[in-house]
Amino acid sequence: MNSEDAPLILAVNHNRRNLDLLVQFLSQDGYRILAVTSLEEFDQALSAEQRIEMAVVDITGFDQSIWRHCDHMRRKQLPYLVLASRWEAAGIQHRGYNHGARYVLAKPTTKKTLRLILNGFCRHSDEADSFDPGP
Amino acid sequence: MEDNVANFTERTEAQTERLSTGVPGLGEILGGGFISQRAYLVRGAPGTGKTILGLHFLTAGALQGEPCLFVTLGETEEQIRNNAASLGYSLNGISFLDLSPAPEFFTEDQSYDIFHPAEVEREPITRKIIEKVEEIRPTRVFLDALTQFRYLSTDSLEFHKQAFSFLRYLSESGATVVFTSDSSQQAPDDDLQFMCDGIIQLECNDMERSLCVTKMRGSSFRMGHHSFRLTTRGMEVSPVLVPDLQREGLAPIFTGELTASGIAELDALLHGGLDRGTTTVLTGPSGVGKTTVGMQFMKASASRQEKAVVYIFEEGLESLLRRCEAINLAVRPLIESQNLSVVPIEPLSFTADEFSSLVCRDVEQSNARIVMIDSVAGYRMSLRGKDLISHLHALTRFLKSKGVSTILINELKSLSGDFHISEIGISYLADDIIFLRYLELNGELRKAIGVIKKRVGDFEKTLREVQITPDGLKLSEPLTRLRGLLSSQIQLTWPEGGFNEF
Repeated sequence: MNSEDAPLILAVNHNRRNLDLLVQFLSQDGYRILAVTSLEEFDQALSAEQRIEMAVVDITGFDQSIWRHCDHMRRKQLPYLVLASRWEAAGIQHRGYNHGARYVLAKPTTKKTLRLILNGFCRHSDEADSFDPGP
Repeated sequence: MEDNVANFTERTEAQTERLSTGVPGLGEILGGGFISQRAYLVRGAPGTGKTILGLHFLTAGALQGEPCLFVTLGETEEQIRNNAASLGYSLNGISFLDLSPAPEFFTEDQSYDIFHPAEVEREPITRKIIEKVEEIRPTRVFLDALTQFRYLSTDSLEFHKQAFSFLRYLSESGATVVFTSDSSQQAPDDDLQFMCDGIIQLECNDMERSLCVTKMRGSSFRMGHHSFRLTTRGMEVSPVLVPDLQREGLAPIFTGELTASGIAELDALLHGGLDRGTTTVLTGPSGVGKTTVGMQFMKASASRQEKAVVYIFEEGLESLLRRCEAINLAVRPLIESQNLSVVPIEPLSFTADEFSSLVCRDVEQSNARIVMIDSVAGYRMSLRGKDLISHLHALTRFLKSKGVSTILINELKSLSGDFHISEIGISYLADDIIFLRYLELNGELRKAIGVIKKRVGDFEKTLREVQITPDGLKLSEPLTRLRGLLSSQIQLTWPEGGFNEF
């Protein structure tokens, strides 16, 4: 997979260090990353025409309007997973799924878990693209 | 068979390369020092001196030109250097690997929670350690504190494997490792205790600091709680004195040599004097003249150029010297000529182990021939509740092994009544027992001296009256007409007048 063909992941994180670690990890796994730290940048990313395979949204540090952006992704049928701190994850889970999240993970998560989820999404996405319904 | 085993153990221990701990007294407890390329755990609550012990260990190596490495995961290098400088340590020749968190870590930009620290930090920290070890090839590593690595592991099994392999890596790289742990009820360090080769436990209470060794693979060590001090010179340990007759060849030997008091009547009472290398308990109630009689022996020895050392727990030096001068016991010139030492001891400032170490050092350095401890009650205070008999036994046994005569001054609480040698059970330690007691005769309070036990040789079975006069100690002829000596009712038989005459 060359870098131009690599799936593009939208990484949303208010914490710069978290975002750096996520970008570092995703890059090592061969993904391209669109990293944003604010809701404005999030809006711009969703409005752009580039194809995004999946979004990883860490809701910590954002206000309630983050859910409007999540609804936006659901309408665009952009799969995403939500990351939340351990003590808020239980409360967020229900809300996250209602807003269309495929997964809600508590932080800290493991690289192995994140890798499995992302690989699963991107494989599924590749298969859907190459699906030939036949004559 | 047992001898063969003992000889084998001694041989193997002697062949093992030992590293100096750098802490005075600690090597003696560890059987010579740390065994090379092993890992030792230093445990203890905050403030007990773990880091200071580590600094001693590294500076001892640096002084010999060994490459030494301090790996810190808690305090910063700067803090450690500042603290060491304030204690007068030179850290020249010691390399640092500072893995403590930088202040930026706590700002938003550096703090993170997306992944476990084990996944983020372990790899760069491991890389830094390996780079440093490869760079300087240390023979001594001090790691403060290994338990910090626990936070770089996702579970206890992983921590165990990480810590074990890390210690093994250092050891195989040629390093002897001393590491600390911050243990608590919530995060015990039992796993580290299992994997290390030796454990030194540091303790501190409101009375004293002490350490004990609970594990030492491949080596014997001295059991017990050994008191230590943290001074401006760092850590100083006073090992518990334990007689070791087999190893040191300390079997008591009575030479037959006598230590005379210089007073004919007193020496006659003892059939010549105290036997060299024996322990004498000089017992009696308050004010009866025990110290005076003891000082008479000390003065006589010092006058014969035999080094004498007196430890006084209950009065100051000047007070004792004045009392001696008031009865024509000229000890000051003997102090000036260094044949006599009088060492005041404040029992609340000295632990029993520190006192024992002091006595051992004094005796070995000055080649003392006679020692007096005035009094057992003062010495007992320095024990702070510990067992008097075992400590005193070890001390007198050591002195005996060096051929030193020992006089223990023992005070009885009661002025009169039925006869007691001691109220604290020390008579078993005594080779000789000299007692002083009050007598009420003809309406006067008088004092008498007698001998009740002399392990080597004979002695007078009668009492003599003793008087402390401006001209010195005076003893009467034997009081052959006293009856009821061991009861509260001493009676004088005929004739009365003879008793008054010396």
